[in-house]
Amino acid sequence: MAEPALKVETEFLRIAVEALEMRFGPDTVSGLLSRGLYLTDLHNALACCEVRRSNKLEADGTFFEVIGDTTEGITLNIKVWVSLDQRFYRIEEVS
Amino acid sequence: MSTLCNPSKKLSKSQILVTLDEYEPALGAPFKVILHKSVQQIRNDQGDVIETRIPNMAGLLKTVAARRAMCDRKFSPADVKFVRKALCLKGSSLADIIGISAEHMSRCENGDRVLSVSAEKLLRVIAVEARYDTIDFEKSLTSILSDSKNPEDKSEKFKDLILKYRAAVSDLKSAILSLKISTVHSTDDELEFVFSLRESTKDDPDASEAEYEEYSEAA
Repeated sequence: MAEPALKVETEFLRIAVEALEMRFGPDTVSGLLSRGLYLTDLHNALACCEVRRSNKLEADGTFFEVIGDTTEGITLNIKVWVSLDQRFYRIEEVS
Repeated sequence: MSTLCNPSKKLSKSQILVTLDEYEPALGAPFKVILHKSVQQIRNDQGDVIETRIPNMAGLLKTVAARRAMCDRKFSPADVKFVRKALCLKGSSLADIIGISAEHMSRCENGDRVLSVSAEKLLRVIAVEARYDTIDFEKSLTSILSDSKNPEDKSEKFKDLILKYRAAVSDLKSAILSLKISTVHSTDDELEFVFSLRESTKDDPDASEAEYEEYSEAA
């Protein structure tokens, strides 16, 4: 059974995605392109995502495991890290 | 999959951080989008890219959509789809807003039908409005009044805010009143837009303030 969404974390992450710097590795873009998706789709999936799990990492940020739908209705599972100083978020994995 | 376990770690000795003169983000736009001196990459000593950093992706998408909306060339089906996605709207949601059926919207994006001039103009106005909606004028004004201790600094920030406000009003007026949609253009003539970070937000330690504007070499 899918884990329930975490409301506060979801709100926090959506706000972060609307304003902060996006960081990603080369595999993120190639993975998206291989599925016919783009950074726009990834951003949209994050902008209306639901956080399913979050883990505080050391003292400098938080990992989130989220599920989000693109505007075309494609569901993406995304692991994303948001820095504690709220300057950026980093895409760790998209599947 | 990425191998970085903690993204906040500092660069290792074999890694360098470079600011790219030009970067073409994979946005899926049916026209060329180039970011001028706005994107940074971490590379290893072989030159392989480890990480790419794009400030304010949400703001970038809205700026690109608004710029395309201010260009008089008629939207292609791919333009309609891209602008909608850049505004983070589902097809059915945008169809509701501009007063057409979801089926018609879908056909317009697939090239089976064409958006009417009035529907396309409304979509353009929505795109321009969304770009300026990201600038919270009231919050900016409050911030200037409360934060800037240096009078010269305060004056510069006021001027900057007034310029942004004027640009917002001017673009909206143009999109509503004077923008003519042109259906005549050479098919070889690919649209290209170059953006850079606004000078006043470029070195701002608060990345959330990063704003894009169209880049011109004369500037």
